[in-house]
This record gives sequence, C-alpha cells and structure tokens, in this order.
Amino acid sequence: VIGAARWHEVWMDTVVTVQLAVPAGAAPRYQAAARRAFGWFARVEAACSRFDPASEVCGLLRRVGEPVRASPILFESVAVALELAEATGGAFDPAVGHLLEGRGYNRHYRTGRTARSGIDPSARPSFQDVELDRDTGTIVLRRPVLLDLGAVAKGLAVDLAAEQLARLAPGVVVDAGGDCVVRGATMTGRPWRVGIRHPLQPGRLLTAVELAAGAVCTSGGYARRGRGPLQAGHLIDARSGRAAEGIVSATVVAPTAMAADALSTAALLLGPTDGPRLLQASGVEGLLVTADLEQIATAGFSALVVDAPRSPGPVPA
Amino acid sequence: MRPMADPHPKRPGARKLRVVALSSAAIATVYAIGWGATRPGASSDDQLVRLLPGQERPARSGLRPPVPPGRYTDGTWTGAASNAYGRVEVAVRIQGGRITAAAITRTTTFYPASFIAALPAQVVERQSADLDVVSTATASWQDFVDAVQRALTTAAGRPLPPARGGS
Repeated sequence: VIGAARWHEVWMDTVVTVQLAVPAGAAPRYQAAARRAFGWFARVEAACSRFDPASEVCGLLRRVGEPVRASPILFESVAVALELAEATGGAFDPAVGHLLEGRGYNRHYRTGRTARSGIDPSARPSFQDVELDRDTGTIVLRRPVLLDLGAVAKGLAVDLAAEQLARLAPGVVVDAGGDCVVRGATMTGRPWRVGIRHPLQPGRLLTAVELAAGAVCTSGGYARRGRGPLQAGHLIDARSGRAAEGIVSATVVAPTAMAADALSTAALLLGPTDGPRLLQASGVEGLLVTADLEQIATAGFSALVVDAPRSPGPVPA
Repeated sequence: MRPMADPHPKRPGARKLRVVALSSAAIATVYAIGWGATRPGASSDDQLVRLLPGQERPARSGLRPPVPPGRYTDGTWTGAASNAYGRVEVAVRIQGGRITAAAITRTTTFYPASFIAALPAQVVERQSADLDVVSTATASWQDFVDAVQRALTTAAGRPLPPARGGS
C-alpha cells in the first residue's frame, strides 16, 4: 500500500506489523500510539505464555486445586479456549501444553530458555480439569495442567491492538504471523485485501480476500517448524495425541482474530469432514486445503475473494 | 474450489457454537477494563492500558543473556541456523571478552534480508542475542537468534547446543 505508515516488532515468536492508512510522512505522529498497540502483545504474553515460567498461566500450576484470581486477559483467553474445546468434542484441547513441551515446543523465543512444567508426559489432563468462575474471576486447575493458549491469545492481542488503533486512523491492519485484523480502508479508499499464502509454495498466494472490517487467520503446519512441511507438529488432536492430519492449511474469516485463529486451528484438527461443519455452525467463512491440495470453501467465502489482486496486501505467514 | 454441500451440518457436540460471540465479548471486556483504568483526561490516542491493580507483570522479567557478558573468548566466531524459511549465518567478533561486532555473513531467507539487517547492531549494543524488541524481522528472527546464540556459545568456550527444529 503506497504511502502507508508501518511498524514492525517481534512478539509471540513472530513479526507483528501495524499498518495505518495515513501518509508515511505522518508516521511520527502515530509512533507512540503504534508502540502502545504493541504493548498489548506484551500484556497478553505476560498473562498467557506457557513458555515463560513467570507468566500468569504458568503461575496457575503452582496453585493446583485452589481458585486463582485471573487477569481479564487470562480469564477470557481460557474461556474461549474451553468453549472451543467443547465445540470440537475435545479435539482441540488447551490442556496439551505438556505434550507440546515433550515434542520440543518449549523454548522461549526471546530468552532462548527451555520451559519445563514438570507434568508427567504420560498424564492426560483435559480441558474438563479446568474450571472458570465468572462471578469471582477465578480459575481452578483440578489437576496439574499446562494450558496452551496459542490458538486464542495471539488473536486476542491482535484484536486489542486493532481496537485501539481503529480509534485513531481511518484504516488499520494489525498482522501477526497468520493472524490479521483489518479495519476501515486503505489510503486509496478501497477495502483491505488480504492474501492467503499457498501452504506449499512460498511466495505464492492461494487467493486473496477483501474486507472492510474483520479478521483473517490461516493455520497450518507449515508456519512453524516441524518435521516436514505437511506436519502440523504444534497442533495436536487431543483425542489421539497425534499431530493433525488431512488439512494443511485452514483460513478463517471472522469478526475477531481470536475467533478466526481459534476456529482455523480447530478446523485443521477436525479435518476435511468435520472442520467445514464447525466453521458453518460457528457462522464464519473459511477456506481449507487438504493434503492433496483440494480446496474446500464455506458457502459465503467466494463472495470475499478478489480476483488477481495487484497488491496482495498483508500475507498471513 | 469445492463448495460445502451440507447446508445444515451436524454440529459437533450438538450445541450452539459461541466461539465468535465469546471472543467479541472477551475483547470488549479486556479493552473496557484497560480503558477504564487509564489516567483521567488522557486523550483517546494516549491511553495507558493497564490490567487490574496488582496484576500487571513486567513483560520482560527474568531475561538474561545466554552467556554472561565479559566471559566470551576473544576471536571471531560464527553460528548458523535455519528453518523452513531459509538459513542465516552470522559472525561475532569478541575483543577483550566483549562483543565488538556482529554481522550477517550469509542469508538465504525467503524474506528480504533488509528485514533482519538491523539485528547485528542490537546484538553488539546488548552484548547478547537476547533482544527485547526488534523493529523489523520476520521468521528469520528466530534463525538469527539461534545463529547468534550458537556463535556466542562457541565464543564462550562451551559446547555447541544441538541444532533444534527445522531443517
């Protein structure tokens, strides 16, 4: 986008980009606001990162069995994660943090340190071992559970940053390695266009969508290091304990990045039959790509697609 | 592109799916609390967003360099790391036990090298690869941190950590 003001910072093991539809020359005036928007990522990380022993979510593990008052960020993240677990019949389960640790997804991207929850790798805690009390704002772990909030927390941070910036600029994009929220319009007044990366061919787009407000999130095994490009090593089907198979890329367009990320993750886990059903039942649009590169779209997805976009815009990683 | 055939899908768990509504409520709740806790009179673009009292945590607590500064072995040391996005090689020069220079010697990343060009100067400034904030990077960020950490570990006379993840 010509002339737009952009900022980049590294948070949550990815590059977060803020783009405002204001002339690049005006960027200094928006600098402080952009930095504050990045501050949401720091706050969400401090609450939700299982890679940081000092985080609030890791602190829950030191108080198993008792109600722990949680920050709104942690409480709401857990609430959405539990809802998603229910909705997927437990295929998505935030209680798999210790399994991910065991697979080597346990190093803090910034400190380089390895986190250890101490939970027995053979233990099978589930989301049903986590209780929320909205009246008191407390969380109780009935058993030791290392919550992996990766599917909801990053989206929440993107949403919060976009919410803040949308009050300042006529057009906003916040993009964090696959989670993207757009508001308003570009400098030229057209809706934002979001390219959807081809899961197997770097630099190629599958398609692109255009929207004035909303979130686009693409989940796929290819975006994180795993054994191979098709293996979603960091996405575990909690029912089998195995990595997700069948879908290599799941894109969801939803009102919030939190929902888009959560539902794209869940669709990837559910596979080519139940994944699309979940998206339809949740009232969102999406595009799934199977391992043999078949594309499955929700009914309303094609209405969002722009043909041959000249500028791909922000590309979810 | 295959359209979905079933207009009335069987819902997993046969219950109303509220992920979207809950997420919207979550954002409103968190944002409203942040909003409400800001300083009176602050303009809308000057909000200091806070968690509830006592719940704010330092975002970068406990960060330490992987190797204590001043313990590096003099010389020029290299490290490399790669993942699905590409490969980064770095060189670190140690003089008098301190990092005096760092450079990307080679990169075959899919992203523009300019995205990570600013990192070496920050390594020198901070005396480790343990960077707090970097304004421009992408997936190469982790490659670079890996590479510099490996170079630093070599420089400190310690055994190289095993290469992790990726290719």
